[in-house]
Amino acid sequence: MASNPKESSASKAKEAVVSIPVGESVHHGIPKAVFLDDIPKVVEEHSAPLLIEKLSQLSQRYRFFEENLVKNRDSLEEKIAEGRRALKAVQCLAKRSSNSGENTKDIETHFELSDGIFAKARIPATNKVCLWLGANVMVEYTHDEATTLLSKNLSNIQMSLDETNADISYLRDQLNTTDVNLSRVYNQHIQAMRSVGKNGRSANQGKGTSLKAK
Amino acid sequence: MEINRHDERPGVVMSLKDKDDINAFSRHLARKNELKRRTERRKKLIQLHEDANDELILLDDDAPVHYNIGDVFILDSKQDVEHTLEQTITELNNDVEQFTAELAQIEQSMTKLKATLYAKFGKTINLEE
Repeated sequence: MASNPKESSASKAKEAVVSIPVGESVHHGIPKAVFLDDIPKVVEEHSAPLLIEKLSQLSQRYRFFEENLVKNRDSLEEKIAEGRRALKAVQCLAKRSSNSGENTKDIETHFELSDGIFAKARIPATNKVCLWLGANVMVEYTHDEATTLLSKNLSNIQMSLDETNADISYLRDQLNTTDVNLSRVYNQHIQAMRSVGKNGRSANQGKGTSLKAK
Repeated sequence: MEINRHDERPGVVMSLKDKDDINAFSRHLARKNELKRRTERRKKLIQLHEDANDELILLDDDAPVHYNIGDVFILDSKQDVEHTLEQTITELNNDVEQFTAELAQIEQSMTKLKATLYAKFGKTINLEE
């Protein structure tokens, strides 16, 4: 007789816990973690081990997600550094070429031919520069056009970097919320076990006195 | 930063606000570490640029200098390179200043949060870095 309500409450617990992370608001595909307010009640309704298992799973999912986002952020930061270098190079080229008039000199450079091997190159004053756009395409631009294009790219990357950073801090919030929930459920469980140990048969009573007394 | 298991103070109930405080603290901590990292990187770069500048002083005034931009070394006059170096150093110093200001602000709010949370949870919460 006793097994029947137990079973139904266990399956209910599963549903309820699974539904915990999927709060109504989802931020860029990241489900919101819900703060469990009344831990004694939640633990009483669902079994603590089940809650702990579910919450740790959720915590791990958040961690995994966070790892991906951090990788994403690192690659964006690298792209920004690259973009800045490119922009600097174009600006330098433009500056050196715009010293127009009779004192326009060739730009003398050493460029990297291969790892650690440099060759000398002379760049005659020019107002064109070629940008590698990717997908095996290179396009010739004037310096102004190139600068505009590169700056625009840079600000686009900066924007997605900002977005990623916001996602990461949002995610960390959810992770923390979940970990806090987890610790509290765990503590609640331990205390319940202790009072079972102390009071022997009257577990419920012990639980009531030690926890509901605020 | 963590919540110690096993010995939660009986009678202390964590509220939604406490949780928000904990989240805020954690966010501040993450930002603080990031800012520290960035400041370190900038400072290293400043040191390198200053070293380069010192080396330049030793050169003849009309000696051409190779300056690295992107993957290329460009032959430039000493004055121009000096100018570029100094400009870069100023930019980096500006960054450092900005980071330091934000860091101070963050540390202030962290101290406040720490006081609040420790007052309530005592030893059961660990907010050290």
